[in-house]
Amino acid sequence: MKCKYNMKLFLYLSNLLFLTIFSSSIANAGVFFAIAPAMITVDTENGSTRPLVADIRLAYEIEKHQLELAVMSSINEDKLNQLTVDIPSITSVFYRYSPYYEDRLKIHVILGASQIDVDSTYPNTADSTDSFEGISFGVGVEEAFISIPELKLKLDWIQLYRGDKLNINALSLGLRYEF
Amino acid sequence: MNFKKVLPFMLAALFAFLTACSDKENEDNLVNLHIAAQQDIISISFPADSTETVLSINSEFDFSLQGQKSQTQEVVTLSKNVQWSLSENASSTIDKNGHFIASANAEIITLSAQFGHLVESIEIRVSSAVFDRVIELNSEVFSIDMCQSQNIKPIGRYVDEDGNEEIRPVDSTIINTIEWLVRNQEDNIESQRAHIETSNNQAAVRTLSAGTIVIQAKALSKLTGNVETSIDFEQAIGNDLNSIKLCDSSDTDLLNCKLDTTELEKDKTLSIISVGTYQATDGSSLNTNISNNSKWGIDNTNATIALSADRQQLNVTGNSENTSTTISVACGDIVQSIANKDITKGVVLDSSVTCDNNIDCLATTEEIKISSLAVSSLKVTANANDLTDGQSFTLSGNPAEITLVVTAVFSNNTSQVVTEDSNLAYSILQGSGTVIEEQVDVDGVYTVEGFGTAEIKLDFRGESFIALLNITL
Repeated sequence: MKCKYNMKLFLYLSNLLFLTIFSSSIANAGVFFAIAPAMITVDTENGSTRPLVADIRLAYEIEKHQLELAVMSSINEDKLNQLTVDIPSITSVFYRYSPYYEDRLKIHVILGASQIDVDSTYPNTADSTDSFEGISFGVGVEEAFISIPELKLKLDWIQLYRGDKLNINALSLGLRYEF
Repeated sequence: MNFKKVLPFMLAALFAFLTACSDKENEDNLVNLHIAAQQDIISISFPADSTETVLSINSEFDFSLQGQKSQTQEVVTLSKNVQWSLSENASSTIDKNGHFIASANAEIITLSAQFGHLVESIEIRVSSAVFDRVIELNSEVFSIDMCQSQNIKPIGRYVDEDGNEEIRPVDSTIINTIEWLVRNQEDNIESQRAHIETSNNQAAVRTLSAGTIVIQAKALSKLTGNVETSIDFEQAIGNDLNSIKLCDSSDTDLLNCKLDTTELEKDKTLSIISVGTYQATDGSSLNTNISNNSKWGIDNTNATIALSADRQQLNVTGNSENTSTTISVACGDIVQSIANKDITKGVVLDSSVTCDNNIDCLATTEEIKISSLAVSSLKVTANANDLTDGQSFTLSGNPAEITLVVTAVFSNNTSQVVTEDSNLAYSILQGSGTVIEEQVDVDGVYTVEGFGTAEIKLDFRGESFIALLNITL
């Protein structure tokens, strides 16, 4: 891949930046944790597969801005006839911007970078693992529970990888807890 | 840390990656697996019975690829997502559909076909050997019944510059030039039992009646420069046709189909097929569309009949409304005489067809009624003003009388004024005697008696229109 080195460096620097922010103490800032099942769609012109993953995120929020570290791991593989596709791991860093910060229902614009590993098996063919790295973008919405304001229900749609002949998307519905 | 300052740099960096990154090599593997998986294909091969590995220079050939499904083990032809390629330095070419054009010089090349992650290759020899003559009618012996079609692969003798002989299927540069001669075996006259036609480099025998025929192939020998006629190829045409029937062209269940549509509107077209039921060698029945090789007839001019362009169905067009016509179809020897040109184009006569003596012939008929064109809507004007069905229209100025003009719009989008048609019924629903009075012997004309609302209902061949008129000063 022509930009693999740069992308890995970018992910590494993003993680460092995230940890730096996470360990600092700034007024009107908070840390939160989120967990959700996510359906990953490996989408090609000639068919799609949709394995499931567990989506775990640790994030730091300053008013309208959030920085998220996401780690996803396989829950369930998916089959297209004899093709089995599984997602052993996804690592992402997302920046989220909430333009309507004061609203109860918050909408987030998401931009980040991801590395996705895809396992595939097919009869009479050697098993393979393909790795995809690229820019990710998407949208998310979240709303706090009235009785527990720290707990929020969130829905994200993110295009993790956009390629020439293949796209990988994630759709997750889960909970977020703000410490 | 100030996010507002950092944000533009992060966005710019991300955008740069967005436009620059693509794991194309990794994509290929996953995309190819999805291509194969989508059709559940686990192996591919070239069809053994229809793949040529020796082709003449400058000839053309359409290669195909087949795949085996993993679940059913069924072998299917792959028409999408096949990538064709030739070995490097090949002068011959192949396009994305597998259409191969041989080079002008002899060469040996490797042809590869890729479907998803599966790749299959064969060696192709482009030969400079030239055609001499046809030596076999088909690559293998075949049996055929009357009113059937059978693709054939004539085998030719080719000779190269060293005098070496090649026996192989006649290629595309020759197959279209062959003149096929078909005679009756018993009297040696030109036969109307069968015809051989060539389309898209594929020769096919079409049979019309039973008996034994003798076939010869005449073609220009590129070896001698003379027109060479092949030896006689004797071919029996069987009579294992058990029954013949007519069905709607849309029927797919040929075992149980019948002609359900026996009524046809004038100027409309009805498509029908003839279905033959044959006795297979294993005792089972085979139902097949034999429209192409049937003999069709019609008993009058109330309708016209013609085979479709692909000759897979007969189109009946109604000419005269409220009449009927009888379509007849036969397979085998009929009483009526047939011109040889009808054999090549499909036999459609302007009279009924009947079997000669019910030996080696089956026939059936079906009456079709031709009805009037359906009326799709009515258009009405009152004193030259357009009316809308059921909506009130005000006629001011105290008119002395109201003149309705009724136009019927038919299902074929033609229209006709029907104001005085005997099938048009007028009835005053409201205002009779107080607002309007129907004039005697003048259809659609009413005398105005006073102010108020008049409602007139118009009925014409199943279509109705309510003219609602508000008459004022």
